[in-house]
Amino acid sequence: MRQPPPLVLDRTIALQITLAGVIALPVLAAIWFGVTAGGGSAWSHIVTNRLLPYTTITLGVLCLTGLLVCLIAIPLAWLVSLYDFPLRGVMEWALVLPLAMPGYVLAYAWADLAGVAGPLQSGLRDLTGWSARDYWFPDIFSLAGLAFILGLTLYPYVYITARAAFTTQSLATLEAGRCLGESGLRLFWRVGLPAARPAILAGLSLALMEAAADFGAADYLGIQTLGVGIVRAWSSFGEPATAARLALILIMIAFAFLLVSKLSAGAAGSQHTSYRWTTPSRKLLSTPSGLGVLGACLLCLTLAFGLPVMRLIWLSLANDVSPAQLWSPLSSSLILAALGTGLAFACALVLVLASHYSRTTAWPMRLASAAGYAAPGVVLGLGGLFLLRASGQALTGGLALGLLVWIYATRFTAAGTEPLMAALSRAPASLDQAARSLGVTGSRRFWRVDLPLLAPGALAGSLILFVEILKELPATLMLRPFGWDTLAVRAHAYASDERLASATLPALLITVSGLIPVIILSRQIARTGRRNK
Amino acid sequence: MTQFFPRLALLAALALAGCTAQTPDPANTDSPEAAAKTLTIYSARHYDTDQVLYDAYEAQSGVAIEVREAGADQLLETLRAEGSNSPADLVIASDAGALWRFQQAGLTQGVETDRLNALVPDRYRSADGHWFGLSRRVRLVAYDPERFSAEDLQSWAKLASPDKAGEICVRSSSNIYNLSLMAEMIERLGPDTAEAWARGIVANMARNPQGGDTDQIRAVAAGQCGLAIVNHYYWARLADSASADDQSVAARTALLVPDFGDGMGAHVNLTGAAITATADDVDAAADFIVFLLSPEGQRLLTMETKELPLLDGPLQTAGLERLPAFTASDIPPDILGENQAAAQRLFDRAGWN
Amino acid sequence: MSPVHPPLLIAGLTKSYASRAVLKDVTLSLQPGEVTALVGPSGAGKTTLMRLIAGMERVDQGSIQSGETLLSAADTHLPTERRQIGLVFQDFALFPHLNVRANIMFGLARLAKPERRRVADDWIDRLALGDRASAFPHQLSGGEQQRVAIARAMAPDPRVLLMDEPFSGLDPELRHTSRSIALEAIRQAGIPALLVTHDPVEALAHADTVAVMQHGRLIQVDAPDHLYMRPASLAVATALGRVQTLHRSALPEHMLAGLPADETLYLRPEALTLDPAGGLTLRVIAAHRRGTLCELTLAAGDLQVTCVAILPALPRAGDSMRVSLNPAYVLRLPRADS
Repeated sequence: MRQPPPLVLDRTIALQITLAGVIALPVLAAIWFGVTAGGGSAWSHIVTNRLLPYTTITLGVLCLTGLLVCLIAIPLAWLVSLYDFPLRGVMEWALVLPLAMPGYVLAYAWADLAGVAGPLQSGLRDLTGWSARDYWFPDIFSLAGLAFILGLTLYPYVYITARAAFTTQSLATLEAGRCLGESGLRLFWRVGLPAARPAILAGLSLALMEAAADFGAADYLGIQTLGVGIVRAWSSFGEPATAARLALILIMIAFAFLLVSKLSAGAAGSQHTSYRWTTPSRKLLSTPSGLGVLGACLLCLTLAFGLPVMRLIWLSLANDVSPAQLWSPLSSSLILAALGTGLAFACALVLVLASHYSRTTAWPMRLASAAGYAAPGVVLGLGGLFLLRASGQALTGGLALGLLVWIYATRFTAAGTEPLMAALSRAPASLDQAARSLGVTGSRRFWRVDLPLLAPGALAGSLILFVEILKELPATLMLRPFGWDTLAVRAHAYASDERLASATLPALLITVSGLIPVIILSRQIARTGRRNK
Repeated sequence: MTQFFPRLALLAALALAGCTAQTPDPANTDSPEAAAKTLTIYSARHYDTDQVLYDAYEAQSGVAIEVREAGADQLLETLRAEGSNSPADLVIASDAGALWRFQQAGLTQGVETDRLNALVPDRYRSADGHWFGLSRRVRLVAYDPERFSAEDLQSWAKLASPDKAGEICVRSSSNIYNLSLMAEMIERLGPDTAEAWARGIVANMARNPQGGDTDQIRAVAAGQCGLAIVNHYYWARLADSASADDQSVAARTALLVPDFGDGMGAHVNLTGAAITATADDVDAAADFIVFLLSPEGQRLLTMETKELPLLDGPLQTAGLERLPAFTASDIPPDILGENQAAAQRLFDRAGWN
Repeated sequence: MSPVHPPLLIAGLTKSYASRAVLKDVTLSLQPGEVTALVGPSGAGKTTLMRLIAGMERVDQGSIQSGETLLSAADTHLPTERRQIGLVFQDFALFPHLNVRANIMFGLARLAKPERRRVADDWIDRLALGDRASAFPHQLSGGEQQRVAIARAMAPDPRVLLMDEPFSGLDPELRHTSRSIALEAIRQAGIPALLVTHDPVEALAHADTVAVMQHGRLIQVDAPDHLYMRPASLAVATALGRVQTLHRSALPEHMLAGLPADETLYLRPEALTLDPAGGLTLRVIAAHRRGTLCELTLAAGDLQVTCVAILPALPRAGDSMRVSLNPAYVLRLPRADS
């Protein structure tokens, strides 16, 4: 029904194509290098011996992670949206907090907690008098363990989108379902879940793309995913081109997720609800079941956040780690995250407005940003180095900084577009025409109409970008200029040398720095349901 | 009419440029005050004491030191990408195989200086002077003295025998320490025997390879396995840790340095330095290496890492008191690099994850 | 043909949000087979009343019952899902993942599958959706979506049908056909129906009873014609159509016969008719054609009035017109209110 006006504007299109090229260039550089220079002796060895296990393990991790993410996020989002229980208002935003915790940090903490020498198993042995060979204990250093870690860090993606779907987009359909005699679980299965499916799939595809691109957690737990295989092809065989070639498989897997989510979202149209019915009438749960739901929320928060953070704090105290030399990496982290957010956000803004005003010319940018998001940071770092080689420059000073910020934009533009898209889609289609009829066009329209409209989404988008860039490890490790060690780089350096105690402080600092924007973000998300009353 | 897209991009670019200009840039090599001599080091190490080491050298020599720390592979790709523009003068890497790879990529230069050759024995430097060892790391066995005695573990071959079934903890094969061990084993025993050995180890594993060396030692202390293949300094760090838990882990395990067979010595790997092909002042770089090999340099290099100094001497690092004496193998260290890819292939075939 | 349903009885209903009273002592009965329109300015409490009937909120005082079955009272609350209420949303709220037939079958879970299908197909026919049974909501026109929403609400044979501005989103032509089909089907089903609308013309033309709400109170409930011609208050009168005020002193003596004795007179625009023999001569200020009728603004001295007429050609500003007054269209309001 919505028919955006056809805009044939050479300059706009030229800018979009240019930006699409800028975003895609590091990916293309890596792929081109992989295809032309790859295929050395390591490639044939990997194809015959390792490709199948890498791929099946990666798919296994993705399936299990996706399942876990859905099992955690969707029921919690449903309960928080439709029922009232003790501390519901706090849980509504607190459940987003694990977003601040990088996957690799969670892996450090849980590997220490649940390892054979960790407090959980030691406690069990002390309690029972068993020896380490007498009992079975869930193995954190396993495919399931990795999925557990990734599920706990990535579930907020689906929680956010599902909660938004349950409270705003499909609320009227939920009320309609209740009028037609459905409630509780049956309402969830028959209306809630299917109507929120596009939103859930969008969140899930983001989460799975992140899981596919993971290197830190899989490497630390020793799971042979493609992400780890890529680095191994490089470090053990010394063939970065082979690594880039392997990355192509990963990018294709990620694209498949994107495609599936877009296709299934497109099959059923989305419904927009008038403001009239957007205040959910939450059902008050009885005290036992209310406490049960609260317990489930707390359990999830404890596993994903509380317990690992407390373990890290304990480790740093027990080993008497001095907080020396953390100021400089902290400021590097914050400055780099701010710069990266600036560029990635500008790209996301252009992308969103471009696709709003003319859908046909926006696809190169969408494709480019999706490819960047799907590519693991290691591969983008390689792509950046290949570009550097082509330019014949040294990796120092402003150039290195610019290159790194560019890679951030490539990697994360897609993550910034989602909230902006959501904000824009809430605007009535007629608004654009209204603006034109009032003679407000061009840059004035941008400042007076588009920007105020996008403001809430813009805040959410830039906060997500900031947190993601703060957590970014591989590309930063490879491209940062002299003296620009970030917290993530420090934490990784210590942890990879098995000095976990020293790694705890930078790891905790990343979490704390990410926590502030995440809290702002989650409070804003929690408010959206209430604002329209 | 729609001019806001270009303006927006311009705005973003300006904002970015503004931020960049305002941010402190400690690495600006073009600034005029950089007229004093600067030594740029690409280091694969990351220790807080390294900064002390650099500071000490700056104070002593007046040369400014700039450091980029990253994984060896990443530093190699960076050097390769920078080509002739690279500011790097020196590469420090914690593995002979990694140093060999820099040399293979043509990123290092051979230096024939008597003073370095006099300090570094042949078996601790590359044959043509492309890199020099700085400190040593020994791969050994940490075992549960209640399950095994030293005689059971004298040679690497004994670890693969069936009586060790379900007893071995070891990390993943992609780790450089295992690759270097296997690289030497291929040279010493031949690829067939080496592969049979790897299969024997896989058959004796108590669990899938996982975690780091420290995790393997902890698993022995916890009783999950009877022995672990680890580098000596991880054990030493536990022994010297501030945490009582860590100390008791070290107390419950014993160390033994296996050899490859009669008279073939033990597997020793190196942390070393290479002078890059782009270094403008080779002498200045060599001066720094000489400093690293001085008693003060050796002390600072090994104090926190718990590596062994390059040469046996009176230096005694806390935590290393219980390290047994051993005879180092005397193969040329280039072998560790040359056989590295073959070692990974062999591990992959043997099913060592 | 359909079983006759009991009426829906609302008695003394009161509801406050945070000490602000939104509904005050609302009493209303909805008769089976009749469409009751609820009109009033926005904020009058129309939506709240619907939400209370639908069971989405609890009542503070009063009761809602369907025949003998108590749905809501201060201490009783039957949850929405067990009320058997048909609700048609302004934006229809169709299930985007289900096609037309599946949307309509949704509320029929208690029936056996073939029976479910039969009922759904019956409603598809009744609402003239025959060729759209397997289309998805986003493939339908607005009018079709709206009829699917009505069919979905009606299919389970609810105790009452509530419609929240169901026709407002449709363009005039569609609205007309869609509304006729829908309301006809609703009356035939013999279900009490409540239609919330802000369009007085719609309420007057299509409802059997009209309830006017203001500031949380029902100020009058009556048949449309009676309500239009005999409003109980000025508020009701203005809620249902234009009212103009005229001072008694502005009229010549001979025209006062048969008029109420009040100083201020309230009249519908149609009270004044162009009449060559009329007793009042007025000057044309403005003239507009509004479709069938033309609207003229006329004045003389202090007096300014509007009248409507069927005219082949618009008069020009400044022309003189003679006008007569039809006392039947002069509202007779109770004293207290005027």
